[in-house]
Amino acid sequence: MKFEYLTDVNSKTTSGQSKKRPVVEITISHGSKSREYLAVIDSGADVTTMSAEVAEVFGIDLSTCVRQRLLGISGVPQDSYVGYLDISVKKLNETLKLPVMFTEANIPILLGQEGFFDQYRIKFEKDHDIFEVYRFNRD
Amino acid sequence: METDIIKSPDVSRIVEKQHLNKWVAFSPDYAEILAFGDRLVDVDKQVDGAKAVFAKILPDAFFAPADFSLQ
Repeated sequence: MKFEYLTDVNSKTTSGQSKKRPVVEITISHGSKSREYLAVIDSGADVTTMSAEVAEVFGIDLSTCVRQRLLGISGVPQDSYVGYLDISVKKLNETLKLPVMFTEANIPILLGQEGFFDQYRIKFEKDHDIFEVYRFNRD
Repeated sequence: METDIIKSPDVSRIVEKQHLNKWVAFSPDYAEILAFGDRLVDVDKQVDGAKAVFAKILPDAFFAPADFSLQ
């Protein structure tokens, strides 16, 4: 499925153009709760990463999750916790249980390499503001 | 064969400076912002179960992979 990059008119490139980001609409489910979010497809994130507040919304007790250290390019470590959420990308018509790193940093939802890129082939076609996400069979 | 392209939500008309670096709850048709604030949990409570799409609006800054120093 091909998606159009989202245009962010409030954020400019070095040349003053509106930035464009590969953003998809996702549904996150856990237990009986379900919410829709916008998520950035981030090939630079090792794993799907989101604010610990998302865990709070779904009633996930982070003290029961495995603790990990998450490093950004700044080198500043963040305490993070590994959990699992059911995530579906709108229009792809399937739900995946993905490992998620919950971090104290207040960041957007980032769909990263482990789990998401493992199961979907992503083709960024920035030259015409399109990206493609499709399932592939490893077998 | 021409492949359908999923249009991205057009939030340019409703996202303003006051929403930068905040969590917002968009109406499902992206026609309005139902609530916004610093904490997702609070924004989630404000919409009180109404259908919404939640998003963290990035500030006007440059991001490298997983740079969490900007909060």
